[in-house]
Amino acid sequence: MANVTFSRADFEKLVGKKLTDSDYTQIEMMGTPLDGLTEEEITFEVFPNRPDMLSIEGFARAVQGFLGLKTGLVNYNVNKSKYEVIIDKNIIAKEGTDEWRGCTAFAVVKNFNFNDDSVASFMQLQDKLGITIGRKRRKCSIGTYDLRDINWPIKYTDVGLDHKFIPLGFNNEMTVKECLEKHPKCQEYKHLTDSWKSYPIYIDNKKNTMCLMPFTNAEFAKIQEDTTDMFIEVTGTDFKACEEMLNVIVSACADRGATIHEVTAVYPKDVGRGKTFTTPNLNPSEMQLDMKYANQLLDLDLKPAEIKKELEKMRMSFDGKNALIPAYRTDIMHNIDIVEDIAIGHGYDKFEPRIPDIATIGKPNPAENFENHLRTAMVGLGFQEVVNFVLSNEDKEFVDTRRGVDPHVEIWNPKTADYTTARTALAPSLLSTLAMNASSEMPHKIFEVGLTVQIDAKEETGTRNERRIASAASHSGANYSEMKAYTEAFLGQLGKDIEFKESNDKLFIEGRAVNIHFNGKHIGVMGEVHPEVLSNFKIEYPVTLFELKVEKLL
Amino acid sequence: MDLHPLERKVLEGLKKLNGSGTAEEVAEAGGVEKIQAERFGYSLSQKGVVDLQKKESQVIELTELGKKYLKDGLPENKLLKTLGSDSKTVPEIAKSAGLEPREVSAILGILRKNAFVSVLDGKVALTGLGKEAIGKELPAEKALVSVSKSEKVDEELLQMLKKRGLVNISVKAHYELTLKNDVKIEAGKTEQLLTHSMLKTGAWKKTKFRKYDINAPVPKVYGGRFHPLTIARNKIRRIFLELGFEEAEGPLVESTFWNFDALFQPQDHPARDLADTFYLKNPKQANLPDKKIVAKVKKAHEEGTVGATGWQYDWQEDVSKQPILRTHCTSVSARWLAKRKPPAKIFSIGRTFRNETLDYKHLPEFTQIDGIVIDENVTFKDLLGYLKEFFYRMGFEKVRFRPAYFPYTEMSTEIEVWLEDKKEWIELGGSGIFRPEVTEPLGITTPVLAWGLSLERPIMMRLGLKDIRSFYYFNDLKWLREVEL
Repeated sequence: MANVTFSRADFEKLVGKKLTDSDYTQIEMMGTPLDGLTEEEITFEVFPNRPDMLSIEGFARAVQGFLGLKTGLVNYNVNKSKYEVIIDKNIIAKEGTDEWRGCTAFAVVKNFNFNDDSVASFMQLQDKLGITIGRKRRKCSIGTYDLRDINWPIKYTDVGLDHKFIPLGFNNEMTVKECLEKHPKCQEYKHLTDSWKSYPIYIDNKKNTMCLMPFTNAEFAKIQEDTTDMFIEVTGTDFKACEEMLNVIVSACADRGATIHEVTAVYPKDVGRGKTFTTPNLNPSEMQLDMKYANQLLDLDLKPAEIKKELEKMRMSFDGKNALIPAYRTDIMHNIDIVEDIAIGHGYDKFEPRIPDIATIGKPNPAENFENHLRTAMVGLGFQEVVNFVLSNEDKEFVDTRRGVDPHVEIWNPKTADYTTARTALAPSLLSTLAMNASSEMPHKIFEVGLTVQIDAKEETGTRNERRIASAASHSGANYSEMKAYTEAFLGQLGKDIEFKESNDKLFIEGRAVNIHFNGKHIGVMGEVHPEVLSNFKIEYPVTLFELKVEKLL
Repeated sequence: MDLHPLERKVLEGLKKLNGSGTAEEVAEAGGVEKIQAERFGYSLSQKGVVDLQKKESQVIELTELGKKYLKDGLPENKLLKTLGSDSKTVPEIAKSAGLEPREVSAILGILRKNAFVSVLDGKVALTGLGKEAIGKELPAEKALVSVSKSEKVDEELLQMLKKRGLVNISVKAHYELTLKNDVKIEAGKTEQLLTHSMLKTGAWKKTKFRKYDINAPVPKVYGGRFHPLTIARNKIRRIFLELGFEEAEGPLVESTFWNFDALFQPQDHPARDLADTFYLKNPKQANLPDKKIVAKVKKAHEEGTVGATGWQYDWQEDVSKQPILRTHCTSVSARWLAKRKPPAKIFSIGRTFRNETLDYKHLPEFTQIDGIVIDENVTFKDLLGYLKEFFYRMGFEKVRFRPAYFPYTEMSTEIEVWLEDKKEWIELGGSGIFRPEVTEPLGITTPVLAWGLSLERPIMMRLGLKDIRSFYYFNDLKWLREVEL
């Protein structure tokens, strides 16, 4: 999700109306929550399906439609031209993969009026597109160049570490190697190019290096204050993303009165797209709309003319059969996407909620019901329920408990040392709870019913949720017989066949630890917690506890 | 006058002391505990029998560190000597003075304040004043000695010692009791306890029972209680069960297949980023379900289902086998979608995980309420209806729905409820109708309504909690024992 901030004056000028607070509330119903509104600035949240609204021009275009000021498709004219970019075979040498940056989309934009507002919004747009569609440059990135400086045709090729050029913002020529070491953008994105042996560049017909992909532009052909005509390149690993990004940008420029000119990419035969093709393609796409499907899903009875009206509010068009979708709307993948636009055009607030008659019978999960039964028994015995994270760490689970390491879930990308695994037992959770409550009034009698995660190769995910119940008592007189009494009182409510057998569980003091057998099955452990464990957890009063497997109590 | 037996003992003690003494002395003389002398001294003062006064005095003691410095000398002396005429960096000083670099920095701060040292280019050197100070007794040292001898110390110096953790300053209070009126202590005619033998013999008939102070404080008793999350969870279960839903559950460790791929989230979707999702190194790989389902999901991503374009990229089976801690319970909904036929209504309440740093607004683990309705005739209005009904039963009368975006639903909505006392809308979840690219590969051809709601947020609203760590993390027993639900 991305937030965009626009100059309010510029925005309202583009929309063509002075907007009131209630207009802004209305705009939120497009699916663009308002994050800030002052006299000078407005901030909206834009969802990832609508990158076209990351530009102030695209946002204004959508608002014009939604508020009924200017509706229907905008026709963008792409002028013929002779601009060409020759794509070197090296760039796409790895046949069939687009790991390298062999995908491109180009355009030339003329008569773009750079002023304070349009510069700010143009910069913001490039930045936001790079993060969203570009996936932080992983998928694609944008470069803009002053058309005046460029000698056509441009070549897209690769160079080695000793190739020299002047990076944007630097005074001196340096090698690619030096640039990689010195340039902040190279540091920021070098993880994308770890495996590269050479680096792609755009270079003009007089051997002027235009950029170092995907890091930085060059001083050559940089955008100046008086630039009006630009060459725009979007380059990356995915043709669809490149074109999507390009279309969003050039539509925005055209909304400001610029003209758009095509550029031909000459790909070598049989690699990449394997042919010569021109961009941008701003022709709307067509999708046949199943009106019955739309009306049924929305429970409306919209006539073709009404559907046309709603879709025109969303800046689409409808001829009674097909919806015409603007080129910048790549989120339309299925009829249901058009249905959603109809619903938004119609207004979510106009749909009357109602409950259908679907004859199904409520059915609780027996395990959940049984859990509640156990909780009631523990509360009856005077124990306070606590709820802990399933997330834990190996030290707490296996070292502090003296139990040693058991097979367990291991997190590959932990953010902190606290959460590196999922707990395999509840006892460590209860001990941390007691430790955190050293200052609250004694006695402490607590229990938890909850999930642990056990490694189990037989399961689809290689693990199994295991329900457990554990209970702990801590106070100056806490001892084995007290907890044995509670265990018997608790289990006695479920059955009478209870047996205690000596256990060597290291969590407990030797000779004060038992395995509990219930109806002949080993269901858990109980005992007096070992002082070393208590000291590991920083607990200063004796603790006794039991932990049982819930499934085995059923 | 009706007196408690211990009040009598306090009075007896006071009399032995000729009518006045501290609580400690009275306790000694009356044969009671000090705390009893205070407590019953207080009740006697309420009855106008004695005068009770609280006296406070300041006690200054050296801490363990203070005692150590008193014995070994202050570290700044050591440091001054170490520096001598050279200038050194902090690590060098630490090494030659045998101190931790952290300690050195702290001490340098003190020395700089006294203008004993100057720091230039990361190197520390003694000033003239500093050189003079070597070997001399520093003010802090003098103060330490004074404290140890219980002599008066300059207040500013004292505060400095306290700040450095060398002294503890505490206020001790004691009570003084003075007998006001000469009360005649009658012999005990009244009884305190009704006993088994009184009842057995009928002696209670001739017994006069002492009147109790009905407002006297009593020790706290805590029973067992359910956790507020359990109570909310059960309330929500009841609502869905009453509405005819079946309760589902699924694994906490999920394959990305069920968590993302089956929900039509492209494999390069930002939600899959390491920053948001806990990936696992054990188990190394999850298995995939039925091959037919996998093939259909792959096709939905690459080229779409009937009448759809799909995401148009090469879908990787290996990527979908990555095991993770599930990021939402919608994975449970997807699994159950594959095993139920319409009509069906299913809900689940379960833990979900996000690779976030813990703070007052964010938890790396929380609980989500997920629900789906599978039926031929359900519409967008029914989705809104179920959610409105659910929140109404949760106590939120006003609900609104705004367009949102999720990769797996269309007519995606954000659900907001109105908080009358705060006069604001609060977002409590997301919902929509599952895209055909989600349902068709799982064998469902009817519309499916779906939602994912927060369990913690509505409880926070209800209980007025500001810090979400009150759940799971703090487990504050005092709060759990006393919270008003």
